Amino acid sequence: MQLALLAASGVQHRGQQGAGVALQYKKGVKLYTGAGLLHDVFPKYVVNRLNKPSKWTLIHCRYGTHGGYDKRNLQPCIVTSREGVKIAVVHNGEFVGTEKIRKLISKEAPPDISDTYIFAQLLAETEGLTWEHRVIHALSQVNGAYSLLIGIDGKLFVARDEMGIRPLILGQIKDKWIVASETHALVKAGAVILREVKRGEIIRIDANGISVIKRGIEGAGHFCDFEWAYFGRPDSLLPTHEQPDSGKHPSDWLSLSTFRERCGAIIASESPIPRATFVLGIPDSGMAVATGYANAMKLPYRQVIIRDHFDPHGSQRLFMRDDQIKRIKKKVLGKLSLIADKHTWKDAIVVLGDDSIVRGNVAAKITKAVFAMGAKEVHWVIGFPPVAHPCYLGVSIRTKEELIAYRYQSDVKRIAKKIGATSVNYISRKGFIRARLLSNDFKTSQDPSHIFLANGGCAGCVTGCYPVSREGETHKFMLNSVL
Amino acid sequence: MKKLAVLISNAGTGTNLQAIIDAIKKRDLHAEIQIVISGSPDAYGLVRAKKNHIPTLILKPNDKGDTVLKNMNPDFIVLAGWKRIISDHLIEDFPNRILNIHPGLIPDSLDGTVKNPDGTASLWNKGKMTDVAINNFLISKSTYAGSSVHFLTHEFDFGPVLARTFEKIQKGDSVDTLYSRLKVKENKICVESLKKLCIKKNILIIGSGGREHALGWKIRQSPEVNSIYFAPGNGGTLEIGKNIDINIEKNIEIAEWAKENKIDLTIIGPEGPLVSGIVDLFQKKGLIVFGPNAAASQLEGSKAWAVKFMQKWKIPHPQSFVFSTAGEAKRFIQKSKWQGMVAKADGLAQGKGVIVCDTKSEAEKAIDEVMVKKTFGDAGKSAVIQEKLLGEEVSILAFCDGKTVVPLLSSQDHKRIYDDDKGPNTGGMGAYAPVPFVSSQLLAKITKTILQPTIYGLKKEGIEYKGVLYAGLMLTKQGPKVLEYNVRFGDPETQPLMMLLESDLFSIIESCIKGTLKKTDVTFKKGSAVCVVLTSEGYPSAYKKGQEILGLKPYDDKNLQVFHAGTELKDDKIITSGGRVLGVTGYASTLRKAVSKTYKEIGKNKIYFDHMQYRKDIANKALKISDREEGK
Repeated sequence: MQLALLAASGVQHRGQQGAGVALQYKKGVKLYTGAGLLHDVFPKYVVNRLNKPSKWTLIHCRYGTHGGYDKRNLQPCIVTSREGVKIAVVHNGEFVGTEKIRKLISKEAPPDISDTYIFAQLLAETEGLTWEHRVIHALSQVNGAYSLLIGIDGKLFVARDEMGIRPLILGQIKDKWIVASETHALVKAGAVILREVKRGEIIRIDANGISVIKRGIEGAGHFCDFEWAYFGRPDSLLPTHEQPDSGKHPSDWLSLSTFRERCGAIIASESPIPRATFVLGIPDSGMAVATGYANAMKLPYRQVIIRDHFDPHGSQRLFMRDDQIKRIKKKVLGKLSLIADKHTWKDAIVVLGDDSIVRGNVAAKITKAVFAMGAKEVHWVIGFPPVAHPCYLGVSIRTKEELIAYRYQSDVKRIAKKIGATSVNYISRKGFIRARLLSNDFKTSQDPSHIFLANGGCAGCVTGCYPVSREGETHKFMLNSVL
Repeated sequence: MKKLAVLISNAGTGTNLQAIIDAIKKRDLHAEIQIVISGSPDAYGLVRAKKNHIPTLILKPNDKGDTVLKNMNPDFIVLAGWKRIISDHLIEDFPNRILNIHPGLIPDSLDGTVKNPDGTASLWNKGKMTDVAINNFLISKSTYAGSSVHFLTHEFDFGPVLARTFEKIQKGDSVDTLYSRLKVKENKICVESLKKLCIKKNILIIGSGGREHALGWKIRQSPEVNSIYFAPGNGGTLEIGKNIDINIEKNIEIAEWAKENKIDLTIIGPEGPLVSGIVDLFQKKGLIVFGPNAAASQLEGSKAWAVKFMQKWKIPHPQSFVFSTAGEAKRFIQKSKWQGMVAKADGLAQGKGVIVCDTKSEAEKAIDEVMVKKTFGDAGKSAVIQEKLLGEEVSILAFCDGKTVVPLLSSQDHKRIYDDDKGPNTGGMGAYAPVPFVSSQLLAKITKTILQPTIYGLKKEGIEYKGVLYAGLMLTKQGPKVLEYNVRFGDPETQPLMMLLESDLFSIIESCIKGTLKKTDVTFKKGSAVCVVLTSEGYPSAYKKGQEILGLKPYDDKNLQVFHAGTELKDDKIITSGGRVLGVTGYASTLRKAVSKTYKEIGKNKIYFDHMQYRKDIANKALKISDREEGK
């Protein structure tokens, strides 16, 4: 339990609404969930109570992308099969076509229930001689983005969708196994990073060790580009999947920090602002972009906005709390603190770097504050192309209307005006893709909006073209021959 | 006859079940369907079962069926459209007994592939359920579809494959057309596999004594047994099977013969092969064999080991000491305050390595025989000296499956050559069962204080005892104590015991090997049986061979048999070829009647040969005791 908690703290940044754990004790499955961050849900006395030997332990930090925000939808999600066997599921991602799956199950699912619950119920109702059959069969009936851990009796099943949209990394601690969304969780737990779970792969871990019960698909799928830009921790590693045989070993993987610095350097070549007084990154995920930009431009980098760790919301990511959009604005400046000496800011041309602009709330607040400090110009450099479309594959962008880029048709001038900034400079789509490739193996596509899909990405939130439709149809796109 | 449980659901129409029913009706399949279990009330197979008066059971939605199956303990479980989970426990309880039909071609090893008849690689369809699997044959553009009948193991869609079948995919095939053809073939291989599993068994019995003849006679009565072979057998075993001329000193030759001749079960009679590891060898070669392995056979193979074992596990036995030099042993004898003592050679000495001594000088002489002169060869490397106990000696034989011990009836052997227990020791001059002064309470006590602790102790030492455990006991005032262990059926105790055993010996032996003895029926007839051994004059020393045996006739009477030992067939005549020649065995409702019935068969104009010698007082002591009790 303590190890699980330690590992979970390595993915806390991915979900902050609530947390939960399911443990397979000798006597049966124990579930414990609660709202808030890990340390809120698991105070010491709770940990002590749960700290017993378990065959498997599933721990989850909830970030609701589907279903209501109440406690019932916290994970692990536990259902009971017709034989009375408890099935525990944790899910990173989002199933599509959930209405269709809803019809497959006999039990009337509550209207506001999560996609994960609906899948778990499907699995519980699937017939078959073995759990292996049932897991394979149930997963063949669903689509979308899923990195799943399923605990049944003494077995743990690990599965990833065929597109490989969400990450899932496999590691080992002596004779134990660990699977998590990010390498950082594995590092925290002191595990050796073995490999990523292949897309479409189903792995079984039990007393006999690890066995692949459904072979995965080699090569790049359609990995979420927003993971690269924003979601993952800077110290996590991801494979780049350019060539069929490359990047298999974790030592060949790319850290998100390095990737984001590269984005900064690419923006520097695409939108240079040589007159700038200094460059500044918005903590935490904007810092790498800004550093990369500053280094490329040979401009001074100054960390004159810092994160206030002791603010009540200091440790939370604002984008994540999408249940409280209206309140985000108010919190921005409480969490971030400007170094308030006038010499720094007076008449300065400030370049602000950030990983992305989704709703524009944070950017507007900061712009206003920086101008208030006496800056002459405020320019934004953004490490992700304009987000103009919602995401139904595991990032909580539920409506277009909340997106600033959608509202202003990705017009950078209008967006700048809305935010109040002198200019807003997004990285180009091609630039972003190049930043995550180690080789020059860049593929073009007939339809420019298929550019991410052609290069092993998704970025449906940028282009509106997703690898799989909301109803579950797989997207077909045409590849141009590489020029 | 093998019992089957067929598990169905409402998927499909129960054609597999029907195929099994038809095969049984045609007497093609030697089995009976014990029960049809359905996961749903609307399964059409239920209608088929009812038409044929087969018991059915519809499981409740949350029932995995584990309990009912464990209680019914069918020989094989056939999954014919079953869709509920098969628990790991059930697979463990029914190893290689759950048959499944998989719509794909399962290889023999996890990394293997099966070739289609045209040489192309076939599809395993691992993890795919029927419709998906059949569709996969079509979308993968395979040339053939196919199915496998396999035993369920912990690995899904994998396990020992019993049969495979192929069906050529035709142009324009749909899932329905292809499956309808494949299904016919599936039904066929399902029945074929069952036929192979339920076929009558070929048995090999190692040994040449009356014991082996009696075991063969009893197992011959089992409906599951086909042919019986004896190695080397004797003049009597020829009537119920074939004698094989094979060197039984050489385990490897026996094993190779058994493998070549597709023997399904080998029963080891004498202790020699057991102690030298014949069971281990057979198991290594994948042959089914009844008897304890070499480690377990040390109970008989080394008296010193047995003594240490009994001391360790506190199994009641006479005070015993183990010596590895004659000097130490003699010093001990001198100092000893015992009235009488027993000297034993450590190893196997063909039943002759036990010397009962009433004085110290006799004991010292015995040690000289054993340890100095090495009369019993290497068996005398070390020796055991035990206090001599007073009381009645009885033999308790028990079936063991490694966990459960089921004793047979008590019996009593007669070791000495002459009446009133005079003269030298022999292999055994006669026996009877049950022993009147071993009450059911005493037998329960023996089971609890001796038999079970023995199996338990062995298990704790990592030794699994599967076979017959023979405890030679002395009934002392302090309770029963173990004089010796044997790791096989006793001779001649086996002869009356087999006559008394009512249950199927083959099923009992099979359950010992499978570890399911607890659920197996072991019952005996009421009444008594007596075996009188006829020997050649001079036995146990030098004796004449080659005497013609007169008065033998075919004995159809199950309550009167002549079990052969030292006999052979020569020029259509049965002649004597050993010291112990025949064991005339009779059963009757009382011991007295059994004794008189048996002796009536022996003598001139009856069963007779020149220089015949036998005891006339078999079971006399027991009769006297019962007389006394009746007199009260």
